[in-house]
Amino acid sequence: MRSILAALAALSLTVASSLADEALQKFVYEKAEMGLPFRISLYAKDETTAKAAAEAAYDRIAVLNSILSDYDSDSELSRLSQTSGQGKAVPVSNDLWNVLVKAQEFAARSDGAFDITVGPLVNLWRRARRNHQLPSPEMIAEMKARVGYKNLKLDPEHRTAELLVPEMRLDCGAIAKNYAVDEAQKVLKQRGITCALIGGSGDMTATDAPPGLPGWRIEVAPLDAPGAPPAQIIYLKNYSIATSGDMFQRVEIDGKRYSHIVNPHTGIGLTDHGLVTVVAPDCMTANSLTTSISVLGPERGLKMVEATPGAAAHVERMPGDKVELYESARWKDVPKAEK
Amino acid sequence: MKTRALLVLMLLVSSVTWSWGADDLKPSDVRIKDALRAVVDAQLNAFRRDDYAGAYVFSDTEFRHQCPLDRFERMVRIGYPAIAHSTSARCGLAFDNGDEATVNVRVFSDGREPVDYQYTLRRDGEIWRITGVTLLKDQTTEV
Repeated sequence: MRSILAALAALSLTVASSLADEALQKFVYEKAEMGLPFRISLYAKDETTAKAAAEAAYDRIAVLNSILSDYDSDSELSRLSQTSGQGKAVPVSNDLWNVLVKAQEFAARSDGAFDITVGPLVNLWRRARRNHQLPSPEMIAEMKARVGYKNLKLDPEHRTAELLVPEMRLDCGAIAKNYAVDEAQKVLKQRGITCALIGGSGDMTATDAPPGLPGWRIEVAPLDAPGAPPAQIIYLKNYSIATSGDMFQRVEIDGKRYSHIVNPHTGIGLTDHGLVTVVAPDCMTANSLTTSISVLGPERGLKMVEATPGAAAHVERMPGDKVELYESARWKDVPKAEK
Repeated sequence: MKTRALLVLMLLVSSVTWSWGADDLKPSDVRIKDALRAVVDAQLNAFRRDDYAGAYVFSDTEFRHQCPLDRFERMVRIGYPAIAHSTSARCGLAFDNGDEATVNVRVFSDGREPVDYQYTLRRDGEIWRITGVTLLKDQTTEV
């Protein structure tokens, strides 16, 4: 009798839950922030609730942009860069601190493959992309002298940051965007939105699954190379995904393809054609790992992934004329769907 | 003394310019954004009229030296079908440094999903000319 009651109780909970799910509607918003479109898909009981939550999330992203933008010379990040080499330890806000600490953690773990001080080199290669002209070796050497994560000194006791070398420039582009995605998701949760997907330029973080689905269906584009595996669809739930590759951001000069990702050690845009996909508990971690793998290569990069709790990675690369596949041990556990 | 002061000033200016000038694109003001939009719209209009020669003149001079008109037409028809057959377009974020600019453009065409591109432009005297167009696509999509 007790078990029947328990079963009935369980059934009524399921019915209530599915009725509640049925009452939820999907709303999608898109807004340009941090120089790229941020897309929010969420489930809410009505449009007023959805819109208010999305606006609050976008407000949070806008605040983070004013702190972390490397385009805005008045942002806190830019102002910090402007103090480089002046012997100043600058007090920083909680948000900037969070990003800098995470960045330095991954810089140390990746032996500098992931490095937010790479700004001068990134700018050089951005210009190369626009002008279709390789930077000179002299210019690369000059910019490399301003790069190095060990030249960014953080003082946890006083929450200050100091850039030790003149003309350094921090580039928090991707990690800042992914921090914003994580933070925006927190805002939605605070407003009672527990089923949402937020994406900034393809990197995404999801909370609960949409009604009736095991997760948010995310299609990861295939590597644009002959013989590459087809697109994958994975289910994302209370997890984040980030990708990195040269499919859409690259420059081809004299028949050689250079990625927008610059190796901080060589100062050269990566020439390996590849696509790295990482899932991790948060978007900042996922992004830091994709960049690290891209620069370090799959063998060393995947070791980093294995050592990161909850992270999994899939790597496709074509160093020559053949596509190579690599996966971390946990990748097989990532829920996937047939297309 | 005067020469020395001038030299110091020049060094200071070049150092400041370089410091923030390596890739000094900033969000464009309304005036520049309108100018960029006008060029993109004018070229898309020419494509809609099937006037490839008319569209070609909005391209950067250096690009035209490298890519003759017939190749340009083939490239647009085959490689950029959404641009070749657009019905409308909406310009989004724009950045410039006075000489170079980028502008994101969402291109609409009948019966197809809109496609996002990033145009790069270079100032040529008083006008802006298009130096390149890159497909903007995320490697992940909610499906």
